[in-house]
Amino acid sequence: MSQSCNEREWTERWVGFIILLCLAGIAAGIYLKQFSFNPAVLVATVAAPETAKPVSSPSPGETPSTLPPELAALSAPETFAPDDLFNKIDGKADLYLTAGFVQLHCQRFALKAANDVWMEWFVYDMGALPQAFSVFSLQRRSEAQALDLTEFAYQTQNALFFVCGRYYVEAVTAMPTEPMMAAMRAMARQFVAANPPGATRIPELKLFPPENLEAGSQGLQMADAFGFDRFTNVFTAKYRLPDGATNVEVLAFLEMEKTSADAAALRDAYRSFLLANGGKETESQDAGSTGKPIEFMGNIEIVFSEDNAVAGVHAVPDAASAAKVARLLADGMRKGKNE
Amino acid sequence: MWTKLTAMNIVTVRRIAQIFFFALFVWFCVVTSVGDRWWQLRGWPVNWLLQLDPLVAFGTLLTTKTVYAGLLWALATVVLTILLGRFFCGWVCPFGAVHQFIGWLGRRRKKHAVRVAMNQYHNGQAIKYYILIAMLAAASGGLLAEVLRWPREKPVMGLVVLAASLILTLWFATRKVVSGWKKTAEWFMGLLFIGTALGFLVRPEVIVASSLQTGLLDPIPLIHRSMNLVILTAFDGLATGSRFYMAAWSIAAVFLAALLLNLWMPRFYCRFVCPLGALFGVLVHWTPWRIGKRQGECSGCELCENNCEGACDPFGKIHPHECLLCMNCLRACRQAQMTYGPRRSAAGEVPSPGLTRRGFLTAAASGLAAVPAVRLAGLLNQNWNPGVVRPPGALAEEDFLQRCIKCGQCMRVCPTNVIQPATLEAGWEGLWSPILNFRVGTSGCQLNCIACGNVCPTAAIRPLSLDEKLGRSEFEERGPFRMGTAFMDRGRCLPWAMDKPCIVCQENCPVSPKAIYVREEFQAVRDGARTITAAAADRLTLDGAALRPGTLGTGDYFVRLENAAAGERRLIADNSGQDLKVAGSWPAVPAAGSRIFIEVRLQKPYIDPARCTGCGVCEHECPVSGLRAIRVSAENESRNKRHSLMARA
Amino acid sequence: MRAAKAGAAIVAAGGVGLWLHDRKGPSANTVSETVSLPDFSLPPAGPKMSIVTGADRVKTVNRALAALGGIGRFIKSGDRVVLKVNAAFASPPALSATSHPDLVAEVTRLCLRAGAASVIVTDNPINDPQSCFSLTGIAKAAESAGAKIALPTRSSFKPTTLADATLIKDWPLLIEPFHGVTKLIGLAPVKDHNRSGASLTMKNWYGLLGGRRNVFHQDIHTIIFELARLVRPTLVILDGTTTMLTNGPTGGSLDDLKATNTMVASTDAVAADAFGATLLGKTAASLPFIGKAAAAGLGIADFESLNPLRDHVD
Repeated sequence: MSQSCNEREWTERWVGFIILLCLAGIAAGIYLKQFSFNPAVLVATVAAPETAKPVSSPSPGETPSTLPPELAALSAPETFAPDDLFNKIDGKADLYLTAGFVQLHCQRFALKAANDVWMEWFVYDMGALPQAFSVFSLQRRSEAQALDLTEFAYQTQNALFFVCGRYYVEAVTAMPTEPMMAAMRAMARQFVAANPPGATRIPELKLFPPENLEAGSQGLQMADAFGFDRFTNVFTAKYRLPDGATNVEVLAFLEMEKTSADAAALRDAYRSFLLANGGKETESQDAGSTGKPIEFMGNIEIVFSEDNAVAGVHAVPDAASAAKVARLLADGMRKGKNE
Repeated sequence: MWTKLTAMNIVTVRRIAQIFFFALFVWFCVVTSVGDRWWQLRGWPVNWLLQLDPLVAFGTLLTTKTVYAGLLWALATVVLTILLGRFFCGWVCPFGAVHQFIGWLGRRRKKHAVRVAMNQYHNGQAIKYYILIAMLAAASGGLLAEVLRWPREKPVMGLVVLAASLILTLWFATRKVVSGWKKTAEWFMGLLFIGTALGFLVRPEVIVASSLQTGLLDPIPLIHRSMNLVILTAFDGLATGSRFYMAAWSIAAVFLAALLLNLWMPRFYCRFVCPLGALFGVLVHWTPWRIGKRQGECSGCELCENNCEGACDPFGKIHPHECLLCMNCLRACRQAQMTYGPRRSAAGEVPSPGLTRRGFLTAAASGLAAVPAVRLAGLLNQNWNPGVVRPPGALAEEDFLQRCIKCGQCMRVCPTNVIQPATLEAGWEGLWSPILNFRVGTSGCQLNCIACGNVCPTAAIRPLSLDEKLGRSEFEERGPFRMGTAFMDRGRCLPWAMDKPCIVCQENCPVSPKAIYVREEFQAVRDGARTITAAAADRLTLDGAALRPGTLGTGDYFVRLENAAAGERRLIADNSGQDLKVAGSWPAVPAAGSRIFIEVRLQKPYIDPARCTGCGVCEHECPVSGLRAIRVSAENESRNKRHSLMARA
Repeated sequence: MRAAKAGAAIVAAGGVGLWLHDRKGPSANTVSETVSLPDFSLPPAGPKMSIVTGADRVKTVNRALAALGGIGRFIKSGDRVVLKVNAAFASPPALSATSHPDLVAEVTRLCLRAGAASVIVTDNPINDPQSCFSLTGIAKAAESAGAKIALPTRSSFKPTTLADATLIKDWPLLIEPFHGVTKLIGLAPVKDHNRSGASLTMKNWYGLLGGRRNVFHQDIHTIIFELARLVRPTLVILDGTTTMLTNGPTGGSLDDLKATNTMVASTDAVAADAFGATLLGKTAASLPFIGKAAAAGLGIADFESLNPLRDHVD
């Protein structure tokens, strides 16, 4: 009896043990299984969202509120982000990308009355006014005519170009009939009404003395201006001196720095850059604080610093004009500061 | 430690097993939530206990004629049960463990005599077998219809069977057989005759159909449902914010009732109600090893019945189909009379659960008849309920109802809590099955989420790939999976009915291009017709009632001169009580006395049914938060062609 | 022995489980067999089209069929024939919205006389089938002539898919009356139709579609074109004795009708429809479905080029 009792107990103990082993095995199996993720988890954690395009509230280029009644959409609106802007405007994309491009909305519109007369409307969201101004200024056509729309706007025979707040807008048509141009202007006006540019201005532009300034010649280069990689925010303006003999266009520039020490440092850095690349200092044509002009590649460069701005003239063929404009610029900046 | 492990008595091991499986069950429910952290879904096999459940496998086998994927695990349970007995009930089932625990709590201070009385075998324990038969009959309707269709399709053979069964029935009847297999054969022949005749006369689909209702009382789905939809919601607030489930009270009520009944009689549910236990009871007819008494000196103390969980009467003639292998009798017996071994109990066995033929036929007929009776409401045909929006990947309704076990896994895993247990929206068959309610939860059905189908143990919701759900690559021609379509309620929508700009639905529509598009309209506001009393370059002073200052400068309000050309309007930048300030300036300052209209720019939303997938994000975001101004209903759902809205699919 | 029985049970359970194991799960479309309609057309031999004028449709149809070579050219001994009539509305024959019962009876008689084993008259009406077939008089006429009426029920339809189609994809088709059938004749009245412009012999096949087929009205010309591809009849008979000129397809007023007294029998449904358009005062060019069908090679829109045999009988 006791023997079978022991035998039974022994069986019971071992059966119990084996069962516990099985439970441990189950636990191990489950632990191993949880490493192979459920497809729902894979999709939720690994996959980048397909809809990565920024789907924000309707972009200005799309809302029909800017569409005048004589136009109708001819194609679907398109949107481009920095990574695929190239697909739309090819090589020009670099210009926008360096200036801080955010998004492009474009669409084609045709005249309701004449469906074969159409234009393409581009709204570049550049993020901020100076950036929009930059791309605007860098592409300014020589045959620009005045366009009363916003502070920075012009038209050509078949297109409108303007800056509206942080947007740079182009309207281009291949068939510049009068009704189409009028419609484009109407659309531009409605765009500006619907997207008020706001009160922001570009203060640096005021620093250029207005005398002899060529209208509409202001510009902004946002990267590697003049080949110098530390010039990243250079405002330019063209001056035409009224001298009979030398009808020379002089490019003046300035860049704002944080402190006057920074400005002085940048000025020196540019001078060193010019000298290191073959520039030669020449004698100053007028006594003043604009420093010695540097002859570089057959042209005259003058760079000086005034308070926390670095300014000067660039690539001027004629030394006298260069000096004159530099003088005007320096005086104007000083006067402006004092006012 | 080692000696402890190998020196455990079997009851302790059983308790460990119960705790292990209960903890596993709770863990699986807790981690059923999309994510890759260790406490989220990852690859945890959260359906394993459901897959081990042979009633799920057998039920779906009857309704779909397949054993789907992981349900093959049930074969392991079946094999072990045939060999060992109802180990699942005593060692694995988490619902059983809960009942056992509460029963133990309830009888702790009770005297021996009371306990023995509580654990006596009761004839009512046969009820669970009838419940099982009724449920399996309801699931077999489709198979029966196929059999009944056979005489029509092969009329010659059908006539032969008809004649043969008639002759045999009459022959058996004249033999005056009263019981035994011959009587059963007589019944079978009789039924065969009736069935074949019916097959010739009626279309079987009208009188029988299959529906899977085992999930209502099957303990594994039941406890998953109760844990997922009732208990875990108390703890959800810690992580993701409260989750809500419609009609969870009914689930809680059933759960609570089952638990409380244990205080009256231990393991009440297991003994009287559980259809899974009944299925096991059938399977253990030929087990090689079973609990029983030894040939020896039983002192008649009945200590074995003190804690007998299955009420199987180990002291007397044991009922082996009721024994849950709890092993309490083995431990309790002081004379070591109880054993688990190859010999039948020395005191004898009750061979079968004691079902009567009458009871069997009643249960089967009730189960079979209930399904077409319930379907008379027409919910699977013309009277279908468009409010039944099922999760993405759900099968067409009739097939869905043949697979859904109402386990609530899909509801638990849904990251936005929009999958809800239905009450009677989908009829009685659809009780506690998943439908979408976009007012509840944190958003609509997320575009890039495929969780519900990948968690459904029976493929009532198919496991979609993301490509199939979005209609990409090889599914591009089929298009995205649609759960329904959104419909504008123009009488409630703010821009349509109340002159209030709002495009929340359009903004939130997640598909690209959007399924909601807007058309712009300018509408003169109430009291918007005014006369100018004074005007400046960008300013107008108006007559009439004072405006609310600052309200018109939101970018939505415009001013239009009465005589202006269509489309000539100026944006209002700001306003005071009597003045309007416009953006820009007038080309020509309007004269005092001219009439103007203050207009609001309304973008009125429209829906494109070719793109709408019925995801419900619009309904969820609509600011008209009571009865939403845009609502999804099941028209155009991909799973049923007959609900299509458009000629081209 | 118990153990043996247990072993057998295990084997049985294992066998069933493994045999019926389905790893993949249900597919997207729980659709079973699709069916298709056989091609009932005869090889082209002999006249293709006849146009007979006259006020008595029984006489004109006899003459029209005689001109094509007699009913015997189409119906041979032992043939099982389906007459697809227009019984779309529960409308009396006088309103001419449905096939005329006299025509149905006469064609039935002709087929049976030519030796047909059976003639089945069928359609899937828009209104309730029972009342449509009885109020139009078609049921009585057909049965008295010896035909059987096949009323559609739920089980009469099976899904069909037309290759390269946009609309007829996995759509219920009235297939049950066609079991064992060898010839198909379409009988259509000439009617105006406010959606498609005209309801003639090709539009007549709409009555073979089941399900919620009104959804196809969104693309009516494509569906008529696809129906013409789906159904290749032996013969079509276009009954222009009384034409519904306006307010089709239901009409309702006798003022909508005009006695154009013309009967057309043709093996080319496109040509028949092109001619039928003229009875409505329209041109084939103004009915896009004719152009689509002709472009797909289903028939000739320029019916005159078929040299239709013209006749008149009083």
